Amino acid sequence: MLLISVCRYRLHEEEFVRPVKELVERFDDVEVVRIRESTESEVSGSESLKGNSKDKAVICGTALKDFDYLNFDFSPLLNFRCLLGICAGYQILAKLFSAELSAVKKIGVYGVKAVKQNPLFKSDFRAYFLHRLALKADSVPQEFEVLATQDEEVAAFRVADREFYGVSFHPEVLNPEIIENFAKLRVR
Amino acid sequence: MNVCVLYSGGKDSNLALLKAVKEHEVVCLLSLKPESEESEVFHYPNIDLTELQAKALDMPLIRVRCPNDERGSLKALKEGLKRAKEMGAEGVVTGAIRSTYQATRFQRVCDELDLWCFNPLWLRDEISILREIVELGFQTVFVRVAGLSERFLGRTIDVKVIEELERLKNYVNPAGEGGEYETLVLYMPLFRGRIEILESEVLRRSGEDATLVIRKVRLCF
Repeated sequence: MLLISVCRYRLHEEEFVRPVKELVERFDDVEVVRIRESTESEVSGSESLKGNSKDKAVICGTALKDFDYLNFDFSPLLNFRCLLGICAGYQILAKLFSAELSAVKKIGVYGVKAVKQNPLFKSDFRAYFLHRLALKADSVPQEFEVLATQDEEVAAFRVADREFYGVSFHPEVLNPEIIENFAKLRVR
Repeated sequence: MNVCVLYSGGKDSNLALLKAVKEHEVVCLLSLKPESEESEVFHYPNIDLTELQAKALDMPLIRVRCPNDERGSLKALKEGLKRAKEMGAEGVVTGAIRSTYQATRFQRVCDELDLWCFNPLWLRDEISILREIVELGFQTVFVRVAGLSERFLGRTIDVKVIEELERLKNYVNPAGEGGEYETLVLYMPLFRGRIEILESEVLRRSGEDATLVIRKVRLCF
């Protein structure tokens, strides 16, 4: 499995990438790719994902003040078969499918309502949030299936007909089983 | 980036500091000094040692008195970080490991003050932190134990102690978060000298809750 780090600062990878890595490496070989390895240009983001033959990837989150990853070109991700976007990764997936992100600042632990059956979680749960942007449940593109909500926000979605999942919270903190369930998903 | 490190003098904040200096410029340390009566009696002696640790580190230290209530402690944290910003800090580094309550507070205050927030030990396995500080050559002693045998008090954390804690893992939280134990770092690789405890005594509160009150120390270069 590929872990995609969008962190601007390496020190943040200890906080946003390492915990996810520790969870998934129990199930799969893990390779970490940094979007900003060489430069901060759009090309660097796209190039580091191209030619990567992994079918499955997790796009990890990053710091609250870190958001210029939204300017990168992530279109090579469309060739992956199975994706989980965590927080920043959720926003990247939303942008890839032209979904409209709204300014929703959420910091802390909040209750999440499971609204549609899916392989990652079965019922309501509490989760740790750290973001400034999110999708509103009443304005998602048609191909987005809302799987869970937190207030008016889409807390989890799946892109219809694809194994692409986005979660606006950080499951590595209170819901490791979500990441484990993703790691266990069979790639079709 | 210029950063401020939230510094209690224990193993976690010292390890966070060590990780921070590898990639960023640490412009100051921030220590919140508890001012409640209980803290004066039980934590004060060790919080007070942050001044000596800062001297060993040759780093500026901001100390802010911190009331015991939620609103007061938040105000103290904000006050301290504002002073850190005046010293050029653009970010703050903490040694937070698992408490979402603490993480939420820090993230919110940082957001309010427009500071980057780094938590390099976040979700770390507790035993792995103990192993890392021993491998890095930290000299760390237990200065408070609660729900953990008093025989650990004053002992230096080494491989043998870690093995003992691992055996107790089912009964205590080995990282000491949540008050199971508190530690004091007497030496770590960034210190210019070593802190020596010359006089100390054990204060017992109740049951297995005891503090090593350090009365006299010196910094040996």
